[in-house]
Amino acid sequence: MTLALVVICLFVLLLLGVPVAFALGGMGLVLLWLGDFSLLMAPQGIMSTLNGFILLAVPLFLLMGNVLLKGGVGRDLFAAVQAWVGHWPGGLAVATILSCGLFAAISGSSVATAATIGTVAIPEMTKRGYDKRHTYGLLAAGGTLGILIPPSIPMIVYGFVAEQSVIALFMAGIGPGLALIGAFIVFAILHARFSPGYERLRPAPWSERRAASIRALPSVALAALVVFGIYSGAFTPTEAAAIGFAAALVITVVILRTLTWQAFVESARDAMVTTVAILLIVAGAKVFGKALALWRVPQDISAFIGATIDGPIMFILVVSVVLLLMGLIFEALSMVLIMTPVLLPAAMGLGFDPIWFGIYMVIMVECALITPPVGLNLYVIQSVACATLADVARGTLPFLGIMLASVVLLYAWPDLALYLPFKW
Amino acid sequence: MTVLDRLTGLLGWVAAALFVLAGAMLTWEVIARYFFVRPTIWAAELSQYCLIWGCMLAMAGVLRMRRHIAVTAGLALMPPGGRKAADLAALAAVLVFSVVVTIYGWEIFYDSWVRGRTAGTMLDPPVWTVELAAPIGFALLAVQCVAEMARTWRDGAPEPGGHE
Amino acid sequence: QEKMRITLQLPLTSHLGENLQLFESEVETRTGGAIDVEIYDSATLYTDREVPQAVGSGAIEAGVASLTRYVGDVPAVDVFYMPFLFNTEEKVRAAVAEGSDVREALEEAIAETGGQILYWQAYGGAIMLSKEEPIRTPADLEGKKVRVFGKTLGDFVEAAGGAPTLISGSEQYLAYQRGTVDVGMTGVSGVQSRKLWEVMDTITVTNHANIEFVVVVNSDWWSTLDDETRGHIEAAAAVAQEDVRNRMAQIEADAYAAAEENGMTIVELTDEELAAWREVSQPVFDSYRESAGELGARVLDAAEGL
Ligand code: NA
Ligand code: NA
Repeated sequence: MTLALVVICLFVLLLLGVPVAFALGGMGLVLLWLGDFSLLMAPQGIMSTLNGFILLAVPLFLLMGNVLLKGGVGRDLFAAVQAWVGHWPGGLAVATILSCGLFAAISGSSVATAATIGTVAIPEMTKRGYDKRHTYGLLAAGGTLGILIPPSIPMIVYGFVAEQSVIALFMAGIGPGLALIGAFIVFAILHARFSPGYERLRPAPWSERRAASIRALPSVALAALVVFGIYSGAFTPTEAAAIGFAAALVITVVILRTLTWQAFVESARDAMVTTVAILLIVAGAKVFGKALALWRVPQDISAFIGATIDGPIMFILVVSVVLLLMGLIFEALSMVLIMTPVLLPAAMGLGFDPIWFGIYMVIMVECALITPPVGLNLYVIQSVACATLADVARGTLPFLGIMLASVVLLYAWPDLALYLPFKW
Repeated sequence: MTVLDRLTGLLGWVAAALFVLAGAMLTWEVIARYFFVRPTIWAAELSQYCLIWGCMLAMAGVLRMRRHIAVTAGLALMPPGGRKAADLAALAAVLVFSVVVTIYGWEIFYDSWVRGRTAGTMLDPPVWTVELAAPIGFALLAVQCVAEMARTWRDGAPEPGGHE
Repeated sequence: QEKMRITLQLPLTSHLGENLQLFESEVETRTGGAIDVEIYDSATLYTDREVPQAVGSGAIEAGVASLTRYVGDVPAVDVFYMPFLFNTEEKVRAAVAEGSDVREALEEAIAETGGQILYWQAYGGAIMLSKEEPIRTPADLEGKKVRVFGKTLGDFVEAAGGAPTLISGSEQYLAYQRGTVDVGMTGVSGVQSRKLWEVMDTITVTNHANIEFVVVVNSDWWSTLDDETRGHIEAAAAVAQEDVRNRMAQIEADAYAAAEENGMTIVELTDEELAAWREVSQPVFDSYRESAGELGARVLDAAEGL
């Protein structure tokens, strides 16, 4: 009863526009107070969150992504990929997806990926007569690759709350990430075949391909450095983020010479603001999570699931529906933070691998990013393209279908995620 | 109010600089480990302190910019009067939270200060040097909250927006 | 009915978790349910390193922490990490026996943090892990990156010529697999629970440090209980303490057997090798005497006299 009230209060606070961090932390305080638990747990939870070494990767990956973004790397990547595949049927769409995938490998955020590639790809695609909704959907969905292909801020956060290896999570994201890229490309080519209204590009001359590739090469090398550096054990994810930031400075200042001092200062400031906003949510959720644990909520829900849900298939079905519904209104990170402590014990009890479950959660969070009314990627594309939310949302619908299909594939074939970290 | 805005704005820049510094220290750590096989004992720890102090000092400035992540779907449906009331209520909630955390955060800091407790890590600094960040950060946030409430009371709610 | 909440870093299925459940049932039967013990496992409330502060401040009634987590308050606790000082079970038992000088002195000092020790949970000795070659002498550590979990162990590795690197428990497996560090360090039961034999193939039974966990209660809460209840809880604690100490040898033997079954080589040190380790370790003892003050000197002398 008290709990139902608390959940309702949380919704009211959120709808009043109380920042997510303080809504979660505040309800945590209320729960502590009602349960006669020590309020010292609030500052303790906040400090222990900020004291997590893995979370230090958040500002550093943001710095790296911002520096590259201000250095015009998104544009370079898109130009290079376009020079190679632009003349295919649906070539611009394919180039867009590949650019999203590449940018995802240097950025930990879906929003940054969607915004960066969207800014260059949307005008280009609409100019060449691609269907508007299809274009918007492509960008909104392609942007979500940002958190499935490492580095990924939601994976860092999941690793932090679930006490799982972030390296393993990063590696596990690659397989499903490539599968999604493949599926998106197939869909884009099929879509192009059956909607002949667009204008096909002429093949780019070799000189242009070479020039564009050379410009994009340093960034691709950086992505490779980060991923292989983590994979080989050369550095921890946090160190990889630091190295990536340093290398991004070298690329944009020394090699490309595109980053001005002013732009650097802006990237640092943007990274600071996003870091504070994100980490405070993690901290608020930690306080809320401690209070829930004291009220024995995760334990009760685990027991309830154990008693009522029959087998892993049923579990994943029910959880997917719950997460999809939650994803309509919840912000992506808060979903990971609230649901992981509640669901993971039950999932592990049913024999799911915690790394696999993390990848599953990330894909469900990607769905949340592109479902209305609250979906950050929808908003980003809406503002980049000056479109209506309804148009963007309708365009993403087929991609949502593809993502849910990938969940089925991941369930049927867990090694799609687990092969790289554990069996290679 | 402008003095406060300037202070919290400045602290935001301090935080940004601390995060960049953390990146520099960890880059050095990797170089030291691979080229000299001499991992430092300070890089990981000091960069962590940069994160803690940076976040705590910058919270108030981020509130001033209205960049804390919030759900804006509900606000978009409200008339201006309703938005003003909602904004005041939201700020009041943040204020209460900040005041409580400031008080209890101070208690934690004070206890460690009196006991002379150290972190027990490789560098082993007194823990209050870290724990002090919470009461200072949340006290600043509380003051900024009051300033924002006064602003909203006078000028109405700011336009919703400012997501990530 | 009075609630006694206990926070635990490890899961209930770990041997410390099982032991805590034994304590729970002992307390609840002895007090006839007047004390309701609730265990919050898997660090849902606090991680290990936060326990001293959480219990001392009264945020929670009780908690389980590795003894070394008190090093910030009482530097002398790291006497158990003095290289090879406690490398046999007899010495460990003598040091942690009720009323021993080592134990009394440490408990007295820890009580000043606002939390007092109810009982000690044995966790076993620290061992080293490697690939292909055992770590027989300090020369085998020369220039290698070694996983450590704490300052004193870091000092030890440094004194032996290695490069200490802090790696958390959850990143251990991949750090070994990927070669982030060359040499591993953990308690032997950790080898089994994390299946480290998939990534390392040799255990050197160094027992260079002894890992102890302590169950701590908040002093203020403790003093609100009446004498009879306190007596019941202390009796329950004594039962649980004895149980885990007696089972430890078997737990370690099982862990070694499991490691061997999974293809690991187990290497014991000879007396000469042990002497070589002892020789390089002197700086660790010196820096302990320096940082742990008068209490440290007292505890160390008592331990060396065992
Ligand atoms: Na990414
Ligand atoms: Na959504």
